[in-house]
Amino acid sequence: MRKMLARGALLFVLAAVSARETGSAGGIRFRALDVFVDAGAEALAAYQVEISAESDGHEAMSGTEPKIVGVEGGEPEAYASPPYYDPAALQGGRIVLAAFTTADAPPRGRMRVARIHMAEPEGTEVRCSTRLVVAAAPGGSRIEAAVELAPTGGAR
Amino acid sequence: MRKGFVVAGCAFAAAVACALTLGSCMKGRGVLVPEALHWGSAIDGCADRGLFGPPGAEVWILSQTPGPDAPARAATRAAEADRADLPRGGELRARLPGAAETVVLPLKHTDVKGQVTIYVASVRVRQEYHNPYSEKIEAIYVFPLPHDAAVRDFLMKVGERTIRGIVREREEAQRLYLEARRQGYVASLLTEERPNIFAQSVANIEPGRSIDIEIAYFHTLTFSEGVYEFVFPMTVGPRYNPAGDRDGVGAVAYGARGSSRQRTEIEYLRPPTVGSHDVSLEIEIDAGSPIRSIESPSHEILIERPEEDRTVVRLNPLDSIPNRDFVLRYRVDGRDIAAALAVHKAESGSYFALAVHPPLDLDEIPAPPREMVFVLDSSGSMDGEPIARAKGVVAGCLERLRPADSFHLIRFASDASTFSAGPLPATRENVREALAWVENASAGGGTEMLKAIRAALDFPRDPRRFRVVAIFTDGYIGNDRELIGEVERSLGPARVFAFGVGTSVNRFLLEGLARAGRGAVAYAGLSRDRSEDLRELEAFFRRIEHPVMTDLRIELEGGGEAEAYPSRIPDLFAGRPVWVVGRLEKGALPSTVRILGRVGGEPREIAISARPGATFDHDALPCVWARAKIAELYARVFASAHGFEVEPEIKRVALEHGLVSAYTAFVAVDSLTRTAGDHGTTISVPANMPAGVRYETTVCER
Repeated sequence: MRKMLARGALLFVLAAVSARETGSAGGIRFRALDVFVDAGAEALAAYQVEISAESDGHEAMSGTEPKIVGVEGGEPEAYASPPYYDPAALQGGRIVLAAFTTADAPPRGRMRVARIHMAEPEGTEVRCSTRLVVAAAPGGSRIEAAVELAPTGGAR
Repeated sequence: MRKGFVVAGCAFAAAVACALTLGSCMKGRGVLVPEALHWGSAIDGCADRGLFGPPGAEVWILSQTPGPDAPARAATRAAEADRADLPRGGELRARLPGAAETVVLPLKHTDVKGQVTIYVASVRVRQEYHNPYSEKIEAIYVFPLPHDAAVRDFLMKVGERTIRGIVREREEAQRLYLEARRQGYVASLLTEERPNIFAQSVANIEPGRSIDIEIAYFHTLTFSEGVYEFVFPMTVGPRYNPAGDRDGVGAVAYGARGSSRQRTEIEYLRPPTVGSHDVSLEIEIDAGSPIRSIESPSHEILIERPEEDRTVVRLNPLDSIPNRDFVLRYRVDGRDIAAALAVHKAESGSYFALAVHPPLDLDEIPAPPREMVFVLDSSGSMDGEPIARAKGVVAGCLERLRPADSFHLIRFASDASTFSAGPLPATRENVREALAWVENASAGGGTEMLKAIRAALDFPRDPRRFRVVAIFTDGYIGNDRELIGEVERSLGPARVFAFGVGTSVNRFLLEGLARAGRGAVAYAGLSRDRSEDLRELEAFFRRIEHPVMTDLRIELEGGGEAEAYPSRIPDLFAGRPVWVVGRLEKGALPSTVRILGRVGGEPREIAISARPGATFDHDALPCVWARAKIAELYARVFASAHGFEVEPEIKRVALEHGLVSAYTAFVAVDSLTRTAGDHGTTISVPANMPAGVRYETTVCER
């Protein structure tokens, strides 16, 4: 099961969030999604994930697709700094995030490695998908891991 | 005393004020002590003892504005630093409408950390914004960066959380920012107004809260006459905008926002008032070979040398007011750059940056007769020290003319005027009269540089002479792009050199004129020591004597075709290398880079090895290359009525490499921090006047 996930299986997360939870007006709502990587028993020294988003019936219209407006770090100290993103990939309608740590004891298990801040067209259902491109242990060897997205708690 | 603002002084001035007010009290006149101002225990002590007279009496304090020189002042400041209770010189405080207290403005501090590897600089600038008011604010700050900075990264720190911004098309980034602002989210936006002027907006800063913005950029250092130069600009000089131009950069008094009707506007503080924010700066240099000497002509610095070829330079905290560019110069062992070729392999291709040096044995080639055209800026911003320095340099150039040369003198302010109807032979009598004309030049009025450039390039050429145009200016003009375009279009076989005069000159314009003019740039007026100007002049004149190598092109051995910039490589002048950056789409780096050109009409070749060990690697090269390509595309925009056709390509390159440009911007929204109410009051962070520039002749007041 983990192997299927680690080999690039897509996880589709239905991300239709009500306007009440995020607050919206003027055609755009803002919300955050957390990115989790589960490396199991392995130490996660580096990761690269790809995230794409589309909203129903609007992606073909200029200026109304979901947009990423910020990238934040995760919970473990090793991944507290915001990951880097690939600007070229962003032009292809997806975001590729990557980070690594040189900590002596990289974290293990399921962890929130990043958070993305989104601007979405109001009144649409937005679907986000994510794919784990690579996960690595200290030393650079590839490891099996799972990635998922989940909405962050609402705005304070 | 202007409502809402005060100028606090040093201990000496306070003592003088105490004495004056004591005297005036004794004469029966009162002095006003404003409420809720922190003036330090010394002055509080005076107030407590009633030395300022009864409540409601008015107090004037003399300010002491730091200047570019004065070890003596540094000593005074060192003494003052021990007295933390004393007010700092010239600190500006403000009051929101209806508020009782005055507070410092939102930008508290700017911290600069740079790392130089051979000749590539990686710099991080952190701006600390704080809301000292009792209501929400949006802070807006227009500030300079080096004109060739590849702005690559943007971080917004909200409390303990840090959010990395995303580069988007400019209109889209602005739309997202404005919508986030309207909905109450903490958000920030970074736009480029000129290649060397940026605008930072931070929305919904709640009372008492702080938000830090960190900007990262890469650029290459200049190298001339064996000296590397690192520059960090600290303030934007006030620009003149020709009548009818609405896409310029307006210079207005603090509080007069909107009065210039320009798209970009900077509010200036009237000296001796300076802003409450200061700058800290630390640069670590790994020069690749031992550093022989290091100095800053602009600031007091502290130097550490942990290793022979590694140096850490810090700005002296006592010299931290941002009113002039920080300039650092250092010389390394050996006449040439230690490693002339930098390389890097990335997913998008293989990149190289190359420094092309003039061959050492060619300095003595005789120069052809020249037609020298001197263009002197005598506009209002040049009033005082700048025009005095410029006149000195022009006079030095006139005195160096040879009998075979001819010369033409043009002066410009609100209009352009000439010494003679056309070029004159450089006879002793003509030169003597020209020197008198230059000496009598005074500064005032606008900056109609376009007329002067046309006057310098458009008159018929003497086929027996090589035309060299030398422009002496601070570059304080809003239509800089139009000027660069004019030189691109009208250059022909002439060459244009730019000589920047002042403490915070417009390097984007000066470097742009030199690049479009296939010439070179020099700077004067930064040093406290005028003899340094003379040395700079000597080097400058050697360069404009004649180019050492012309018609340059690059060939690569192995590695395939390269997309290199500048696509038209400038001529090579004595003592000053030419920089070329290139990208190969596929695979391997070349084994050798050959530079071909002509010396005295004869073919000549320089070969540079790309073997490992002869090069150094730097991951900034893709961004440096992209920035160079964007600069070249900008030049096409400036030069042609159809230049807008390259705008999509600029946008594409900037977005692919994640760079800020005229058509792209960074935006960051914290979707977890939503504040109540509307976006609050917009507060513009004012700029300090550049040292040596007169406020009265350059800033528009209401």
